[in-house]
Amino acid sequence: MSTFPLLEIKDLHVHFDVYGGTLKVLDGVYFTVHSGEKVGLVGETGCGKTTTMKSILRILPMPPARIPGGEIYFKGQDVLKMGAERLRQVRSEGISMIFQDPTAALNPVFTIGQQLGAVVKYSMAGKKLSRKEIREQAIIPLKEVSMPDPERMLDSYPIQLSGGMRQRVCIAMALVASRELLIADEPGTSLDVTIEDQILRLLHRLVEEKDVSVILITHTLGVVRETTDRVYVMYAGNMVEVASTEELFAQPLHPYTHGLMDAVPKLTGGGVSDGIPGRIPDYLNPPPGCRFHPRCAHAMDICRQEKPPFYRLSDDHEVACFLYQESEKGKQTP
Amino acid sequence: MTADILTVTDLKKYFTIGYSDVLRREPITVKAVDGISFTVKEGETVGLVGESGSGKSTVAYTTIGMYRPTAGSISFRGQDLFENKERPRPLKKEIQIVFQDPGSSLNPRRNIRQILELPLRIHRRDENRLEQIVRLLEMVELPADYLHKYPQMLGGGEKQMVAIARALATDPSFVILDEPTSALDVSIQGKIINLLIRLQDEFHLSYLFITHDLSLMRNVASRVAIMYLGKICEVAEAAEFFRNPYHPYTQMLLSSIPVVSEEEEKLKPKKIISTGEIPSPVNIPTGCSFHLRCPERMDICSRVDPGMVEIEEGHPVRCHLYDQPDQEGSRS
Repeated sequence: MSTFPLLEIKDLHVHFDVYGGTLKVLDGVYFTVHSGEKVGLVGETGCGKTTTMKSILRILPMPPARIPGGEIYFKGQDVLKMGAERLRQVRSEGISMIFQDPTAALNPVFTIGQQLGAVVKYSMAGKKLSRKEIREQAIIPLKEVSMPDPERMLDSYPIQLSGGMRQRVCIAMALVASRELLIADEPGTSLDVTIEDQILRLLHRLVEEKDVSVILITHTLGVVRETTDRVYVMYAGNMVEVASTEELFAQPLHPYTHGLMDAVPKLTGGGVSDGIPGRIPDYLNPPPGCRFHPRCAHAMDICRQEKPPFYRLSDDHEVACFLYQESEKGKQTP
Repeated sequence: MTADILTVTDLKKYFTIGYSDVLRREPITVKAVDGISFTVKEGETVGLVGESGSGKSTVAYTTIGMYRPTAGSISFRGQDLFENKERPRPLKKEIQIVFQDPGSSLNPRRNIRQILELPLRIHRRDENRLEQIVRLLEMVELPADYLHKYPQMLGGGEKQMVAIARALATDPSFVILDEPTSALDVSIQGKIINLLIRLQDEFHLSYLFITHDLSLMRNVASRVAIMYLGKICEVAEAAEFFRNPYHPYTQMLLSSIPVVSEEEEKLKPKKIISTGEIPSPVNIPTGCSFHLRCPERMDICSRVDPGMVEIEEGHPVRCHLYDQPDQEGSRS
């Protein structure tokens, strides 16, 4: 292919040095986002979803974090090797992120206007803007997120807004400059269902209008099904399955994906399955081979010794599991 | 028909959060629970669903005795829970609770043995305690050597199992489950839920199951009550409820659920799109408290608070759409 994917992560490793050893959190992550695509990333708490995303923007706290290997290409350039000025450009024009908890993402002692204004100033570096112009620029994204009474909102403090409104402000901040990639890290998880639904629909509309690519991180499978084109399933620092959304929900292949799907209570009733036995491994001493094997009902000898590569089942479906070793090797593998 | 184990009648719980002026003339009250009635039958699971701020936890805490109701009554097997200043011990023993976050409901400085011993020491003085603690752990499928562990050494699911064992230590007949799985991952949720269902069969427990997850409710509750701003707006059998939701708020809730399959998609009411947010319980709108967000509001809704109307047997709804006898059922 002659054109670069918008974002490409290759064999990313992230370790955290802590008292008592090294947490090997990310263990060779591959991840690709093409231009205009909506990609979902699903996994349980602690599987490394947020760590992956934070390393894209290089906002992991280092130390304790450390990146011993891997490449992250944004439009063909390695983010991990960028100098400060280039990185600033990526952060101000290329990629923005919405965090899970809007209350923690906003500073409680500044007004919405001050915080949005700061983002405007940062995004427009080089151009001198008067205070009035900044204010005008700040109102535009607030209107886009259908904020009632945006003028008054600029002079409010975060504490005066409800959770849903705060998340709208965070989305507005992420939209200030025209970005190419938006990372939404569980944007509705801390909100009520009806509000989460509104926020997701808002995101969906904005993404279509502005033609940005999105990475949607979540642990709710239903959300992924309703909002994305392609899904990555992550377990304990590894991608285990990637497929088009339709294909994944029609035919989940990895035993972990299976387990997750079964564990979701269904509106149609019929009881709840027991879920997946055991819990996510200890990153200090992760199990050798496939990190899922201690919880897997299909574990074989080879699973305990080798890390499974990606096998390609169809054009848009790859899975990292030895159950499918008859199939051809996928392109996600080195 | 099985008998009612818990009867809640016109329960109200108001909190005074301040005064309108310095002379302290007008108290400002939050109407957390504002006149709700429902019953729980022996051996049944009743689900109480609502958004945050709808008052579902206040109902739980009032039932367990952490609050005294402002008005109304709760009776347990015919006995008023609030007739005495302090609830008698045999009554406390019968009603227990499991909290939402096991990380904060278990004392981090006590080991599992000490945690489980306290309710036994208070309520069951005579018997061999160690043996009983081991039996409790067995009941929730935890190995006996967990006795000497501390809460932080356990995973979230295991902690919740300890919390369940603690609730069962007194041999209760009624357990309140206040969002027992919302702090846990889906892969662990199933195990806890199935454990709760098994224990219910084994010990003939009745549950008041509080949650905001309607899909989960569909799978555990026999009857569901929907709460909005301190009032119940619809009660129905679980299966019936998902087939025929009447109240516009219920329809909004159902249409907001993210689902994983086509069959489920078909169950969601299409026409209603979620708008607005739950208002502050300090300033409850006049008339029907939902009218600000309601897609089908009429003139009457902002003026008159609707009453409960039983549309079908065992399926009451509180909405003006259904309270004119001549229009009954015309919208279903």
